[in-house]
Amino acid sequence: MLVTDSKSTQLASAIDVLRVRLNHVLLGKRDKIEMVLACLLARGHLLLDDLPGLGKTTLAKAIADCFGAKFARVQCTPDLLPTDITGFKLFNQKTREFEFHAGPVFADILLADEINRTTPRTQSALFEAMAERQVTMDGLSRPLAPSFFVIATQNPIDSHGAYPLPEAQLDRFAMKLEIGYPDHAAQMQILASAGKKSFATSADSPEVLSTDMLERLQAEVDSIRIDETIQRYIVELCEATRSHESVVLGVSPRGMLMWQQVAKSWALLSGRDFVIPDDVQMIANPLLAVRLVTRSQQRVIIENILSSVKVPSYR
Amino acid sequence: MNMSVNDSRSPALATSTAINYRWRDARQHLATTISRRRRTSAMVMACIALLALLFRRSNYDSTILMAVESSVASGLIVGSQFLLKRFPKLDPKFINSLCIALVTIVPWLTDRTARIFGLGTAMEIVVLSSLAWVALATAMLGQNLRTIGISVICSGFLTLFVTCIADSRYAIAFAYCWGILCLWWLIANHWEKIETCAAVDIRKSSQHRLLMIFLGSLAFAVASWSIAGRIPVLKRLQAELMPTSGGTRDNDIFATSGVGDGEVLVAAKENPQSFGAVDTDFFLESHEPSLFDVISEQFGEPRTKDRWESAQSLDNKNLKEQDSRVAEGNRSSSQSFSIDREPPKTKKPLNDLKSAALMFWIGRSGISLATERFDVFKSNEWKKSSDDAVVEEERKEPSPLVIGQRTWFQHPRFGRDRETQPYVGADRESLKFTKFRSPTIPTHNSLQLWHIDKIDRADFFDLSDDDCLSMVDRQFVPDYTTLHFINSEMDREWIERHAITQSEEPYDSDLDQSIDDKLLTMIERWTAGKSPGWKRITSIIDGLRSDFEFDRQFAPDSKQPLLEFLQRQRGSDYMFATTAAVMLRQIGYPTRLVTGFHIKPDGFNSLAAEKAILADDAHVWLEVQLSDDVWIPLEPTPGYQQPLYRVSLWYRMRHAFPTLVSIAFGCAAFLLVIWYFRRSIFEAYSRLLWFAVGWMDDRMRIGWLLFILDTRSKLIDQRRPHNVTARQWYSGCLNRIPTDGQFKFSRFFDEADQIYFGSSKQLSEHGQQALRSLWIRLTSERLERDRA
Repeated sequence: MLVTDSKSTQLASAIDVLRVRLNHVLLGKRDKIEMVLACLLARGHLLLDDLPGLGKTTLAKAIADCFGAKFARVQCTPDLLPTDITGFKLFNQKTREFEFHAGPVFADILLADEINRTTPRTQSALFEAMAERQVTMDGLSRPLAPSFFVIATQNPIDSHGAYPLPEAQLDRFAMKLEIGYPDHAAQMQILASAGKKSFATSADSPEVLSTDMLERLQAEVDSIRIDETIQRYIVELCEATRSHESVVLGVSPRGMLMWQQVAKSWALLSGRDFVIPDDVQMIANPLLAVRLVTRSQQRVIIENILSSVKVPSYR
Repeated sequence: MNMSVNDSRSPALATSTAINYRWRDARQHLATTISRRRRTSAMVMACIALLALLFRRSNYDSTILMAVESSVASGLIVGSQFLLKRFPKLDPKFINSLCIALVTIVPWLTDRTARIFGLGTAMEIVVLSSLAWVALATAMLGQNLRTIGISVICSGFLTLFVTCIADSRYAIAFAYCWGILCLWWLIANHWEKIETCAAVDIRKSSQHRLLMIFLGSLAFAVASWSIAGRIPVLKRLQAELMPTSGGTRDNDIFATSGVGDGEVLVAAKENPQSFGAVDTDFFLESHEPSLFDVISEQFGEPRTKDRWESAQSLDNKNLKEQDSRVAEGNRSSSQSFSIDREPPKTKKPLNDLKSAALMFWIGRSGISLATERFDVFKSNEWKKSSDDAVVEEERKEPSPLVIGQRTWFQHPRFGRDRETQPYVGADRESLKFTKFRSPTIPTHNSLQLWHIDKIDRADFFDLSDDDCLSMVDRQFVPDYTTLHFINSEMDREWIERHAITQSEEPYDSDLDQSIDDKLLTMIERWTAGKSPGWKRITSIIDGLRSDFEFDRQFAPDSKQPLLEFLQRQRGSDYMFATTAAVMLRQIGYPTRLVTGFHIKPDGFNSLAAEKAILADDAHVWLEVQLSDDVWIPLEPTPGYQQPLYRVSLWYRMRHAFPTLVSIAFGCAAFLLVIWYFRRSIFEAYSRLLWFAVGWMDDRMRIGWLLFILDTRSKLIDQRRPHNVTARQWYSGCLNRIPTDGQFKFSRFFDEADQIYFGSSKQLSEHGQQALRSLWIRLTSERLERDRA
């Protein structure tokens, strides 16, 4: 028991550190950061659907910095090739052999900026890497980092020359978030701290966490207990999305599994070793936002679905 | 949002607990196997018990009845399992318990239904059957090992009991089978228990167990062989010992294999000419009383009059020497009926008398059968007007009417115009004489036709002017004679229409002034505000029934029994009838006194519509004349059922309307009061409930707390939406509580979540306190205030 206790304390303090550092980077977005962490710990990938200049890159870099992880950024443009992401083989004149030059996908944390600007061909190369966590080239599979985490962004305005992501591909993301503008106080704070070096973003900031720790946290999520009543609740919610009249495409079984996993990770972030119905509800919005194809306003429909299913209670 | 990780609720770590999980899985698997094995053996034992019972019942009960019962009960069990499979959301515990409860009542319901169709079985068998199905249902659906244990106990008791009461000696095979299985069950249970203690080394040891079973069975067989025939009780148990009915007054006609009258009555039913008691000689043995004896025994003998009194009560021209003394014949009921009587003698209980019935009656209950009628009341004595007439009337013979191949005899009222009489409908009723030693035939007031098998001579009967039927020139109606009657019912609306007297003058009144005054006072009191007619009549009858007390042992002391009755307001039924008759005469209605028998509804076998008429049933009542030859019976004695009338639905509705309206208003007012005070009522209920949930575990108490809080929310019209968790909904109310209190309640919800969705079982001490605070303090009033 002592071992377990010290271990859990270690994990809890790691989460706290992560939380504090990210909150220093992205001011006034405490709730969004919780979602990002839930997504990260559940081994899901994140899609940020937001305007430029709201701190998407900063956030991604800060996460990488927290774990001392390898960070890579790809600016997706229409002329971007799949090999620009996955890597390519180059003939070495000296050794007279082809050498593999790993692409940005081999980083621990990858930021794919404006993913909807690149061609479907390039997008699908990335999606394969996201789903399989490996890259196959010339019949040889190369595994990616165990804690491989993709933050993709897409720009909601200026859709000229964009390639909207297909629904099937969107399912590969755990959730879609909109960071939004910071509030007034946070903006004042941003201005005040301009020019000062934040320890979270500076290269010489002390590395308190490691990718090992991230893996341990992710493993811990798997051991979170989920009661049968809550699993039934998730299933009922998923069924409700499929049978809702305004929904064109409901939640797939893969999405359902992701929902359970993110709920578990949310429970861990809340300091619990078991999932409660509130966890399932809290993450429903960003989780369904990336999956549901609806005829009318998505947010209203999601609210509608949540209110149509009876929540498990103390009975 | 609480972001801190609580150390005490550490996450379960897969690595450190993996071994524990595997160990737990292994134990769980073993427990499931044991439980399945136990369940199977309990089921087989219950089946043996059920088969043993069916084997016992097969000789007596209808196969259809048993088949229906079995299919309904087994259908319920199968149906419940199908339901659970089809709708997995249903709570299996609830459905299974419900199924067990329903299966328990199936034999009762089947029996009640079967009785309608003339099948059915004795109550004892229904109880056993119920037990057998409970044993099977609990074995199949029982949720824990304890219930399965109960099933074994039930099946064990049943098998052994049924073996004891079985007719066939082969039934012992069931007991042996059950015994062996039980041995297996016990050995298996304890074997597993011993084995699981040393869980590191579990080996299959079925051979050992079989050996144990074999040895046990051997011991069983040797023991039974050694005691067989040596113990007298066991010899008796070979044949049926249990009396299935009898020894009680409740005769169950479906008890076909018992002792006592149940069997006898059933046997008699098989003879078309017979009902009630059979023509066996045990009715002939007793020295039964005659009709006169019955009347004198019940009401006491008339007091002896001195010569002068007798002379006063008679007209001078009729005064004869012999009237001055009470001759044996004069005491007879056929001459007169004196209301000045001795108190009845206390009867000695009859020893060893098989049946005290004078007659058996098949027909309606709650009616009265008249034997004699007296229409002249003088000097405390009722007489027949025909007594005064010196000229003997010509005897009237009833006219015969052949229906089918039977000769029925008609009452003069038969076939008369509907408008002139209140008689409607026709009920066939029968009377069988067993010990009624009198030529008089007790008949109902609405008699239309009567018939005795193979008798077609009208001169057998005499129907007197006062409607009394008797057999001519016979000392008494022969025993075991069965009379069939066609009787009618009386139309209440007709009676009400014709109950208006022509004159308000007293009819044939010859009473003392003191009695007269007293009677008039009472009449005035009772009939005040009542319109003349039927309402006045019933108000007098109702007044007597409510203000006076019936006491057959109470005899008047004075020479003026009527006055004494009026003063002491207590007396026998003849006093009630006389007083009512005199009172009605005072307001102008001709009345007459009737003696006979009352068919009491108690002890009436409603299924067979059959009743034994005993001497106790002798009764005196009165009739009131509404038109020329229409006399309506009235019942002034409390404790006796009022005559039955037929009323139309419209009449009923018209009369019931005010009552229905007042009931509706009363209910509405009651519901309104409940609605108005609903919160206070529920608060009181929840307080009481708090004491009742003390024995429950924390999980159940939390469930009940949520029910209480949700109901309180409903009462203040702020129902918790079904998609909102308790924590989310009630945290709004907790916001106003000081911070430490808030923390306490938030901690409570954490713990409750942990119990329901995590692995914890109990609340902490703080959690217990918070639960109590929420239960007691978060009242609907406070909820309303805090959520506002």
